[in-house]
Amino acid sequence: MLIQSSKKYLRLYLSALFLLLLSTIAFNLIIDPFGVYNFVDIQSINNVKTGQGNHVRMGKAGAVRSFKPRAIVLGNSRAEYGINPEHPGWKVEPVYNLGVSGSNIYESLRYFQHAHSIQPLDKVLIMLDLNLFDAYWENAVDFSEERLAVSLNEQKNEYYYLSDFIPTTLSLNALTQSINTIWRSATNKTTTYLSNGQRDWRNDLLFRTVIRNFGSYQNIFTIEEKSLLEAKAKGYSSDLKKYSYNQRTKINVFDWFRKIVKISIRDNIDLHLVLTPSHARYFEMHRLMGNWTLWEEWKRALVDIVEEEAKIAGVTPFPFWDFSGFTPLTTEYVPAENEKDTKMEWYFESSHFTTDLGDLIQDKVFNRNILSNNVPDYFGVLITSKNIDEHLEETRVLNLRFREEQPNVAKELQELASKYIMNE
Amino acid sequence: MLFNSPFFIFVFLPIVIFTFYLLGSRGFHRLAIVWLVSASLFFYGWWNVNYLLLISLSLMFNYSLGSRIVVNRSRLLMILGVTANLCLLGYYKYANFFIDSLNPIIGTDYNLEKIILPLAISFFTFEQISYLVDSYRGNARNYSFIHYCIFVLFFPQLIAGPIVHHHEMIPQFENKRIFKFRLHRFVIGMTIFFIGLFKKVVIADSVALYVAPVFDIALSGTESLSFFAAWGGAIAYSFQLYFDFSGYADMAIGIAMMFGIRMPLNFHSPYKAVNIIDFWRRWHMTLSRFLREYLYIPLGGNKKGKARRYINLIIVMLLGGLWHGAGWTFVVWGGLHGFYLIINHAWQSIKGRTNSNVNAGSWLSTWLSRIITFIAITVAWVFFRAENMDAAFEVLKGMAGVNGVILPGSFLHIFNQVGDFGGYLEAHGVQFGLDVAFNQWGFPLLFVLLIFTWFSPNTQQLMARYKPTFTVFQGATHRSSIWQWRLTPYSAIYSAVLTLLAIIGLNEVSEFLYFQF
Repeated sequence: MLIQSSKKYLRLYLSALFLLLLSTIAFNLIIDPFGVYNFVDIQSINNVKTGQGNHVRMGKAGAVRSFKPRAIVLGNSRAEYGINPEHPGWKVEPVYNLGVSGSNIYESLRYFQHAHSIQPLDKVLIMLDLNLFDAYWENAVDFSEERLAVSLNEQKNEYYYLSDFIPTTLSLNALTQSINTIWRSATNKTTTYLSNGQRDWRNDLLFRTVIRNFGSYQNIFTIEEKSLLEAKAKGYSSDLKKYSYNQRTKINVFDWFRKIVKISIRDNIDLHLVLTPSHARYFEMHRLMGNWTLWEEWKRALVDIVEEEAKIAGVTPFPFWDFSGFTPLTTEYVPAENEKDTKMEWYFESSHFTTDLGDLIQDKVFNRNILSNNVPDYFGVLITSKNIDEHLEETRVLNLRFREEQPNVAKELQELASKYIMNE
Repeated sequence: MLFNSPFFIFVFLPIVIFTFYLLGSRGFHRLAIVWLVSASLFFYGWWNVNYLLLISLSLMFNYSLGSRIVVNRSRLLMILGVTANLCLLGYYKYANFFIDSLNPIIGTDYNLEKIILPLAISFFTFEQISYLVDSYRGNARNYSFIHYCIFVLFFPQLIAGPIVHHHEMIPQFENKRIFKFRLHRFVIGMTIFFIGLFKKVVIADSVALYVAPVFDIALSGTESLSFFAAWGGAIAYSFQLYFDFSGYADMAIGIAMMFGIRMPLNFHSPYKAVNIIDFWRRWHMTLSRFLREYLYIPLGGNKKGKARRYINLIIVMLLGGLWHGAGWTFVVWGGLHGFYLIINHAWQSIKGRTNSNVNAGSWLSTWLSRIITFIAITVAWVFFRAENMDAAFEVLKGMAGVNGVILPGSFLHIFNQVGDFGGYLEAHGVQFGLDVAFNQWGFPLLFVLLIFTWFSPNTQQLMARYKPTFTVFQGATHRSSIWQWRLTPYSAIYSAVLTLLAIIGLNEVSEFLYFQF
């Protein structure tokens, strides 16, 4: 059928375009592949949010707006995988895992402020890692100040919720992710994130993924260790002052951490601080790279800040836990290349621990031996400026013992490290 | 300002069109052209205001020189003019490359500050050289300055072609017909524009995601590229470049059409080519035209015997390669195509004794030729895309299978359903696991694109009924198909869908690619 007239054609074309634009917006709002709006969450329709994986900063900023958590987890991907917000120790609801993959301490602070401004927080568990304090670790490309409810100086950002409207409703990415979300939800595929902000932690799943993509645990551990060595070869300083102070921006990143502590004291937030337990191999590799003092100084600096701020405000310092080090849990055996059927219990990669280990941490921190009534005494030490020397000395002794008890592992790591040191 | 920016599409373009017809329809024809020239200068200056002076001086210089040559036909002036243009191009585009290449040879350490390449200089240099040469040859006449300006500056073609010719553009701007708004032309132009935008933002930009990791790894040299990753990256780049460049050309043709101007055709399904000669008749056609008329034929073309012809071909292709960018990779790319062309011509002259018609082969031989041609082009593109020669060889090594084969981890399980096929492959060196260089989802996409480029009609064929270009592909057949665009409700709906995808393709979310399980 020929319309003949350009005018009629144009009218039809424009009406169709207008309708299509509107339906695209509606469709993406409902399916919500980035988990930003959370209007409807229907099993087998849109529960597997496929867009969240690569847009975690956008997704989580939005999720905070829709769930209004009263308690949050902070940290990087180690917190995202390992800390289950549904642990009964929290005693408040709702709890959201606001850990952000690949973030730095500045991003932690900003997401903390964002959540706190939307819904005043009662409780926060922050999982601390040395690399959060790398002053040259830039904010991720998908980090944006505009989408956060307050500025660094706590000025309200009126239109923050509009900042992601176009990308989440009228972008090709949103449309393809919506379609992908429907397909993956309908076929019951795995999800990247659970609706409580934790990464999908099921150990069977992680185990299968490790074997499928890397062949064995041994391989994925080695890959991570190599990337540590490569990062070191590119050159960051092992001197804490240089490590955490950015020459260019003149910023000491400990200031961001201090701000989290300050706000928590001021607003009466129950803050729990935890040093994450990466696998013993991870710390041993850091030792081989000459980072041992860096770690020790870092722990001291954190404890000092927590106690200084408490003293200024005249309150009891927040509890500060160290779960890292060399314990029977963190030195778990890593199955070799040919052991494709052996599943690890506490780790699936050298810096990421399983949610089971995370539950032990939460049992201890929240003083509720509910999920396992026997968290070993050696796992998790409360540190203060008074006992830190003793604690650090003990860690050194345990490190020596680890090398004696697992000489093959020690030798393997030594050889790997020496390759990179020779190459320099 | 790029065509694929919301500011261009929703602000700049509507204002320019509206004002142009506002002036034009009231009889202010000259003013309407002046407006177009100003808009084009604004478009150019958006990128870097400083270079507005350069392009303006270049225009004035060439115009005044050309007007003289038209009258006195002075060979000296013509040579002077062409040399001046080449020097300008040489300075801005090749000075750094020249110094960097010379230093190791003569053992010096000269250092030249990085010269920023002025946008579009490669294009406007060629367009003006052709004007000077034609003036000398007696193929040009005295144009008014404002018409000369719009011929070079007209913003649709200014920064990425087509490389237009004065005698096909200026008469169109002199024609009063263009000043009256015709909805029909506008609708056609808009449709072509959105087809081009779709090709650029939906296809080229999506496939680009698969290209960068491969070439980045090749550059850094930290890891080796497996067979499929290297081929995947190279083929993905073939598509990225084609859809990007031809999409841009479509957009230029579409915008020009909104002003009632017809541009020369620049692409005609180049990957449907059955040999390299055929490819160069379909790829960046206005560049081929320029090189043929102003370089190959003056060198003697094919009139001075077979040996000279091949030498001429190599010269043209090497220089053509260098025109694309100042670097050895581009020279090698051009040289490789020159080499392909020689083989192609030699083959045809052998074959020509029995059968001269390349298209007369059987179905099988046509497809075999098409596939071999595509592979040869893809191999050459590796040099075009790679940052340096080492990186190019890294990719080619992978493509040659030197670094082994990696298949997705899930395939092992599937293959092992058939006997112990997966185990058999593993035993013979095939690895199963995650290939960090190339996401496995890229393969179905590349397959779809291959089918699409080989079987679907191109933009000009879709719009053939309305003759949107000044030149057409020789030998193009215009079979009517259901895809062909007409003023029907069906076309309106599919154009609207295409437009929707192109518009939403403009709003990309910045992505953070985290270590993916």
